[in-house]
Amino acid sequence: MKKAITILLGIGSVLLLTGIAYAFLVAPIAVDPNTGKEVFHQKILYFHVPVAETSLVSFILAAVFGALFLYKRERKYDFLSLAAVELGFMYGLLVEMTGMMWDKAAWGVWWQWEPRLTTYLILMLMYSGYFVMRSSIGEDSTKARFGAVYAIIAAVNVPLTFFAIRLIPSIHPILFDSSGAGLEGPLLVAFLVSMFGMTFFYVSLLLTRYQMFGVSEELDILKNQIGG
Amino acid sequence: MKDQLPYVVGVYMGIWVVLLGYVFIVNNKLSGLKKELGALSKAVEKKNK
Repeated sequence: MKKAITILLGIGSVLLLTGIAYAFLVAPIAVDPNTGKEVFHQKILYFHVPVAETSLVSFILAAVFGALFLYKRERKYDFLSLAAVELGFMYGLLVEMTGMMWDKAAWGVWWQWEPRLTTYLILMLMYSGYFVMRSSIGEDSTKARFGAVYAIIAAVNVPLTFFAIRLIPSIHPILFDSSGAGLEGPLLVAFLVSMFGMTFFYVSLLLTRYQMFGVSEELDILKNQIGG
Repeated sequence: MKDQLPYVVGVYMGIWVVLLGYVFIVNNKLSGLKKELGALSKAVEKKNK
């Protein structure tokens, strides 16, 4: 598994660096169609959007692994679900941070109570409860069972967050809608390369974290054997 | 463009620092756990003999 993780991490890093290079060196600075002015802060989206999509996918994956755990009762699915929530949360924090920088650069304020930011904040608060819940339970099997149920329930908020700006009027830009992508040519290439890079990077992190939980459990079993 | 530059740089730097920091911390911890696991496995083997 270590070799696969290293390869995924390598591919992810190379793609991300290529995406950055392409975004800054090849893709032109976008122009605001309303004002005709160049909007340099648009370059933020090549990283901000892939990070956001990855975090939402991670929360969905956590729910899928949670459901698999409840169905099969195999510990590995609990590890994968926990790892996915952890990474989704970390990526989510990055989304909030980079989103605030976008707000400041584009709108002149650090925070706007608009549908996307607000629903994302609620999503993050919900998942912070996941960690509180897990740490307040002592027994591993109960922790895993409750964790799986929580991950499934919390994931209901993911589509709400994604579709919020499509259903409620918002100043948040919509990149993809029914008419297609809001990017074209080199801008789209830079975005897609970053998107693939972030996905490879994420999978390598998920597998590393999963491996860590496995080793940690093996260690606990051995410690119990020695103690007994 | 100049007034937006710090935010763009901040985003790219911030994401790289967090992601690479995470990779470093997790891998460091994983190799530590593996070492501990190896040492304990040997101890268990000795005990069983």
